Amino acid sequence: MLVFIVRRLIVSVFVFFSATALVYVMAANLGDPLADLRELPANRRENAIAERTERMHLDKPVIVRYFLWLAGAFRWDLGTDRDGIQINATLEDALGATLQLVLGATILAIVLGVALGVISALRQYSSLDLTVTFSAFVFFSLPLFWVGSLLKEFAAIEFNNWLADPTIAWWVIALIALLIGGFFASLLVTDRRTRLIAFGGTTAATAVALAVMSATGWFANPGLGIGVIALTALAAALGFSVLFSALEWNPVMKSAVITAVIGILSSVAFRGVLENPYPIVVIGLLVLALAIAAGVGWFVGGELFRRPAITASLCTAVATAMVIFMDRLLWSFAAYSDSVNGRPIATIGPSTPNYDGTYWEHNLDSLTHLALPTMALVLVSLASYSRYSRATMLEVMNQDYVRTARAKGLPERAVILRHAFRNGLIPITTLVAYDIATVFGGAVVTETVFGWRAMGSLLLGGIQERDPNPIMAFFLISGGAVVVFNMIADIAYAYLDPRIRLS
Amino acid sequence: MTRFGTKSKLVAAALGGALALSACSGGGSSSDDDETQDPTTASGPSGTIYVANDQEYDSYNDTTASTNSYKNSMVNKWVTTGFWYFGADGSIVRNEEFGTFEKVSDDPLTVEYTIAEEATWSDGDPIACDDALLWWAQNSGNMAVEREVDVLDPETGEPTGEKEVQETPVFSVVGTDGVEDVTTPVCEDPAAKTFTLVYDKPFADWESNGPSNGYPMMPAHIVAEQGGFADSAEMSQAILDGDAEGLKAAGDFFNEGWLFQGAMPDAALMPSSGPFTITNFAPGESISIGVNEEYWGTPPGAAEIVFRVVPGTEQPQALENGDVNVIQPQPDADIKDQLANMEGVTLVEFDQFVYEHLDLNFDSGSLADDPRLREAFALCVPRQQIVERLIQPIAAEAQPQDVRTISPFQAEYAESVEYAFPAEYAEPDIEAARALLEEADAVGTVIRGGAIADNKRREDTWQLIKESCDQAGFDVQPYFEANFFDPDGGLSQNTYDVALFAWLGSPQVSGWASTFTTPTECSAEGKGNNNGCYSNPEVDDLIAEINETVDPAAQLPLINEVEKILWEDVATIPLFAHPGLLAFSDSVKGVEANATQDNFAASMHKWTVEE
Amino acid sequence: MAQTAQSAGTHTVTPGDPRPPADSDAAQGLDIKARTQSQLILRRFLRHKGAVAGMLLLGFVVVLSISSIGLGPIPGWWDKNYVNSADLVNRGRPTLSVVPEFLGGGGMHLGEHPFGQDNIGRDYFALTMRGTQISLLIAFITGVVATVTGTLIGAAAGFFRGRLESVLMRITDVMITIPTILFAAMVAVMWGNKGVAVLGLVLGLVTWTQVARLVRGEVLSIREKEFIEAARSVGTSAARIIVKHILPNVIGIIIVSVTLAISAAVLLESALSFLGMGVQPPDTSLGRIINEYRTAMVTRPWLFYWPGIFIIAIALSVNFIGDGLRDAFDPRQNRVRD
Repeated sequence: MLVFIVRRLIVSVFVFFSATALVYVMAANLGDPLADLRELPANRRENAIAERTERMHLDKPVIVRYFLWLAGAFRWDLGTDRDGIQINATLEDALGATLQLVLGATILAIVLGVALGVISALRQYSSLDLTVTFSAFVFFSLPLFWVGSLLKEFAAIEFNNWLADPTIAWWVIALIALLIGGFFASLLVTDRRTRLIAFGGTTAATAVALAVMSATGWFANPGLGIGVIALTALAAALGFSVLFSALEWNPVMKSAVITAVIGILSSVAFRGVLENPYPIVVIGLLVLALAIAAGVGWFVGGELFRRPAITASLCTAVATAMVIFMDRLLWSFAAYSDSVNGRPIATIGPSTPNYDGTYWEHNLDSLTHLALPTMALVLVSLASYSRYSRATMLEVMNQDYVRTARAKGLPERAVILRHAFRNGLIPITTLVAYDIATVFGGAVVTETVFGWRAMGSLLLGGIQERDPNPIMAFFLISGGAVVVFNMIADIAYAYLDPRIRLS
Repeated sequence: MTRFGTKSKLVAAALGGALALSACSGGGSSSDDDETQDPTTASGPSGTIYVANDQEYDSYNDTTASTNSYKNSMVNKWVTTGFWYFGADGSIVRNEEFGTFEKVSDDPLTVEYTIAEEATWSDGDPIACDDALLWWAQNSGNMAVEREVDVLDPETGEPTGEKEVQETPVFSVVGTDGVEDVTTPVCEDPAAKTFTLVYDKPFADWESNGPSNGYPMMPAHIVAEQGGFADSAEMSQAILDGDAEGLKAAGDFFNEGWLFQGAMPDAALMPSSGPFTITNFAPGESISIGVNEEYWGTPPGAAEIVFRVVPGTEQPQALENGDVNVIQPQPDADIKDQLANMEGVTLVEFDQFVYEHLDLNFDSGSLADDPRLREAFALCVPRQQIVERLIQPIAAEAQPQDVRTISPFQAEYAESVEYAFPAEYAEPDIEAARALLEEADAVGTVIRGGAIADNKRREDTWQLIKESCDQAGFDVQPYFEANFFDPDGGLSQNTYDVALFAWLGSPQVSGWASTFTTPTECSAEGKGNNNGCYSNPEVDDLIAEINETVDPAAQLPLINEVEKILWEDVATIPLFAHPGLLAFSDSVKGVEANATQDNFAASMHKWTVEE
Repeated sequence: MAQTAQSAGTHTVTPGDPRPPADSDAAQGLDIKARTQSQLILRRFLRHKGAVAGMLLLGFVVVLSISSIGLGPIPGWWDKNYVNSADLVNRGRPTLSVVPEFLGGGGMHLGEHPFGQDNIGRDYFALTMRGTQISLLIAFITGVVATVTGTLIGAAAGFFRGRLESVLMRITDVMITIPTILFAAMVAVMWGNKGVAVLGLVLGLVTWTQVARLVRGEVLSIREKEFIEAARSVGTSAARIIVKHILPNVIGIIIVSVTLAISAAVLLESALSFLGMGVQPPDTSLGRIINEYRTAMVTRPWLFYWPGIFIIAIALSVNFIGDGLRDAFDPRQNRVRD
């Protein structure tokens, strides 16, 4: 294994060097970097051209320029752009912004996409499958900037207008309730009657909830309250214990429920601490919660159930923590909304300039700025994950070993989780790893639409100004990510699929 | 004067490109003094105003060749101030809080500048002669060091292998016109509050030649300290001694030390000489300026102005959503309609100091040899229709521009049109054009109509010209090149018959002189701004005469004469003044449109915001 | 999760499957006919409703775009072209009406300018059709070039050992390392003004890596399967193994790739146009048209929506066709067996 990794590493380094040379030569041949200066009147032209020629080493052949760049790059000095701004500094900021922009969106897209793909594979040709397939294709077919413009118009401007008086018309409530009801009903494959009951129940519950929220102006001043926190935490405890064990009152469920109760109680106990905490306090509390959960799992689980009990408790703790966090965020929403003149959803940039507020308000500020670009990115990249994982799952589900697993009487949950899903993950992992490169690509357009200055502006600026250094900085990071993730993919492939020989 | 007066091929500016700040001034117009009546509230500055800037700010010093652009000067306009700035119609507005200047002699032309007695940098250092000496050293370009550079092939841009010695200015400068003729040091005593520019020869644009808001004097004491001098007096002495080598370190700091390299340089290095000072910088997001507590003059209306980086096309939605309060978007009919329909937003339509025109190729074009063909072409270009279809949706009142060097909103325009514009070109006359073509036996003459690629309005303009002129018997063939303005592109290589692009309008002679003066050589390098290599000795003489005329009022009749000849020769065909759009939240008061590249920033110190 | 998963399992073995192969002749024991592989594929394809609908939609778009304004010198049935200006009728609003009069609409007619007019009065229907033609052309060229190149290189790199493998692998690796948007933007800047066919070609030559990586991954895995080992052990030639044993097994993924490549090409081209690097005038494309009229979204929405609808129509139908083809080629994934 080690030999394989080292060999792979050496090859990757050489590949990467060839790629930098190729990109540099292309970037240096895009056109005339002095074009805009030649437009200047004669008296200004000479100085400006001389200055830039010296800065960009235009008096030297391309190959020499490449090696100059490479020598600098080895010392992690990426040079300056054509106006003398150091690329290193620009890159640091740009990289931070890009990660902020794409990280959440990518994870969300992968989780949602794979989940939707797996579900629609398990329900092949059901109305759910058809809906997911159809919408995935529609979203996949949307030009990103087109979606971006629409989102800004409707999810920001119109939404903010609506927040001033957040009531929902009865027919909208009905429509949303029907959609949600339909979605949950189609998840179940049982007889018609149970389905109708599920559909009716969900629809009615959603409609009532929305009507109450609308009447009380909940959307302008939201929050969850202890009741919702408690319900969610217990539901999570139940769900995780079923997932990792079974639907019975065994130590696994016991420990999960105990964890949930501790979580609910501490949400009340720590109320004061959470008023305006330092980020480190929040992280500390999470670590504490995880430690307690692990402890509970250890003691309650006993010899026999220790592993599933700890896992279920940990998952429950995370879910409870997330709900409490969400609750605190929502409580601060009204104050935040006030501080930005009642227009919380922003159309541009990563944050409100010079914003001054509590920990929660700062988080809300980031979230409201991330909302639109994340939505756009998730919408358009969801499809490739869901389509691919659907295809993979369908293929795996028809394999002989899955049939064998079923035939020997394993519960369907075990068949899907242990046999089908795990094998289906192999190609999905590869896709995800390779996709990191496209993530950078997709973000170029997103950045432009939503007014972020990130990696994409390095690339676009470089190409428009015929300036190789910013382009190389973009490539160094995005290409480097591709190389690293390809390696990870290959290693993961080999690890997950032992049939692939490493020699 | 150089950096503002020169007309560069406007394209870049019109496209929002990286063209250096090149506005222009209303020479001729008097300097009115609205600076003294400032509507400052008794309660002092308050509130934050967000402004959209489509490019990111990157230097406190916007006077060097590579930083002199709109993105910087807009922010710096009221941070580092000077003796004057461009008013809304391009006239010169004197900033008397900073100081005063007057012409004290005509021969030799001598202008005396007096810095306000209480004027100090915000770090307490007085603004004085040491700063003026630094400004002079930079703008006269006389501090230069030699270095060896490779000779580039003018065609390919590749090195030829030969070396030549080139002089590089110690202090990077945008241009040296005007100040290079000031060979006597402007002052001697570094602490003096007055300095004098003595011109070796008459200079028509002297009034707009001193340090200004947006092209100011930089703090000499900071440069001296960073350049290894004990104090600024020592550096002043080095400048007076012409010690270029000794000033090299100072020059390096001057050129690069104020760049925002992903973070704000030390605030102590960036003192303010105006009502605002730089307070905060978030890379890729925003730059903020706040009140300069040490400012001796009238405090600003707003407590803070934040310039957010927002791409041009995204600005209307950002304004509607309240993410920014002030935008000046690309003029576009749909953007205008969108802004006009927004609640709580004020929209201002105005004329920009930029005009679209057709440039005829007199060197190798199909219309070069026979004046009848040029007249026929001028007769068939549907100027009125172009304005109706393309410009009036943006500016309802727009009309074709009938002369080149004076813009429709200027006082002198009507008189100039009356004198110079031939009435028969007001509406297309297809019959007359056809008759001229038949007379010249030139029906079917091909006109290769060039323009930059990716500009919808220019594509549409050519389409309208084609439809009209093809009826008259021409064969118009529009083509669009991404590199149209590059040295290997159509405009430089004269592969066009008629080119369509924009010029910055400028009544300053030094601004447009080279556009109509016979070029030394009709090549990409030699022809300067006179792309079509138009040549008429009469025009050359007139322009030379204007150049030496120091009295603005005396320039006008000469300019009108030039315009008349240009129409007789159909040297170029002006089409329309570019319309501009300015929009801001109703809560912000005091925002004024400005025809020059200074844009709304000129009024920034007077803005207020309701909270 | 567990609940739903369990029921999914029962679904496959339930005798009363909601979609029994009722139309299968063999199932009814009547009139048994031998069918060739291609007949089977065609039958399976035609049974995929989405694919058939996609086929019809794509066919409609292609026929409409070509027949309406013609192609090259051949004139079409639409009497206006996409170049000439005209006076604006009713601010250039679309005259298309599909709601019959008895339903309170304006009747069913195309009118003078069914899709409206742009700001100098050009017929927007003709312009959209022209954009559709060009976008289809670019997408098709890019998709085919990318798939052919990618499949050949991917299959060879996945299968062969030794020198050829390393050379191909390294070339692919270098190409894969360079992000598509970077590569595409650079070649578009360098060659985008040489015409749409060239643009399509160069875009294809930089986007094949996505196909190659999928094909290679699949081939890598198939190469280790028993039947390949068996074929190798009886001395079957490499070419024959690739063509007869490996390609049929990766055809599904190639088909999916080609459809994804074509629809991705439509979107790549529009993204490049958005960034100002796509098709250059006098040519136009759907992406270019949307960009030119992007600011019109609120004020003259028809200029924004029509080209968008056609982009979506093309990408959507191509994807559905791909889905149907994959199901047809690769019956392993179908629960409903023939």
